[in-house]
Amino acid sequence: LNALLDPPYTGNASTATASGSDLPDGGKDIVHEIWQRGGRREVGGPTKQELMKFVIDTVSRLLKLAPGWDGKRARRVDPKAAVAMCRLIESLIADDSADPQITPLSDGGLSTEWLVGGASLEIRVTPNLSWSIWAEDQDGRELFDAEFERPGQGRARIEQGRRFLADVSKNVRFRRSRQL
Amino acid sequence: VSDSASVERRSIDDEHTLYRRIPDWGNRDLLVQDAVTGVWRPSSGSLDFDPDASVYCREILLDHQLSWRSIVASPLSVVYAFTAREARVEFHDVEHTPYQQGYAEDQPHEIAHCSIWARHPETGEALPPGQLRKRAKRLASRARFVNFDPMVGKLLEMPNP
Repeated sequence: LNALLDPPYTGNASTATASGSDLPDGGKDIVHEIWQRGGRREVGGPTKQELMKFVIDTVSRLLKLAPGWDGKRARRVDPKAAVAMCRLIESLIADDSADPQITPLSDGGLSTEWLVGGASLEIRVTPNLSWSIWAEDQDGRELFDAEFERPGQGRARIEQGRRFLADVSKNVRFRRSRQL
Repeated sequence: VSDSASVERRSIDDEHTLYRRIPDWGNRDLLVQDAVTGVWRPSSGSLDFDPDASVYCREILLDHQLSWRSIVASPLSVVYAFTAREARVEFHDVEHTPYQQGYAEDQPHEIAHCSIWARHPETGEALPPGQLRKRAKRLASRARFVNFDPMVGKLLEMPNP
């Protein structure tokens, strides 16, 4: 998967769990200690590069799922759909974005959801590379919903999704990318 | 009893509880966490249709001295529940479909297998993909975990080996 993605997301980018507990003057960095325990408003969220490392690690793991991973008839995650999903996520996130949460689908596709205070942005990619994007506000009201036949389509919706994600990500307090 | 044809089909009452089993490999890949509250819920993708969504009826399991624990599979499964009434708000029907082809061997819980069909609750017509995922998301969002604490994101009970 890494070979299919462009730099800079091909290197050893992970600093997401690096310790930040000691200050240069020898004092204790309480802010980072709280941040590492989770459950508090974070100071200094992950960079886009760190989030993409989390995405690629997750997708790489999901690509290894055997057929029937759901206990029924689920198909393997399609590698092309996985790459398309990574590229879509890359186009939506920025530094400090909420964590993308990636779910395998039984047809071999992938779904990714950002869930922030009840507001959500979700994208899906099917094995034939058609994809969809939709967003709801915190009260469950639909903000937009669109489907496209190919990954290269839908730039205006991606921009809309990017703005939505940047807005809701200001409120992030929990990150699963730091828990796993 | 191990084939569908020889098992009596039961009607599923609105009050019956339906269990949905989702695999977990230790990474909660079919769950999502709210980044503000920290509370977990099933992902919309956890209620997937191919062409039906498989669930297990609590009342039928109990009639056969089984429980939700009987549907937990290796290595781990998170189980969540909703009522048939809640499912019928979003989808056309819930049907008892015991022992679907290929799932009869050594799986007694399959006698309680039910199918939720991806059709409109009122018209019965097939749901387009966009409608399907929204309805699945609403139903999954309303579900209640059986063996998972959504506040701390951990399984409450480990299945038997």
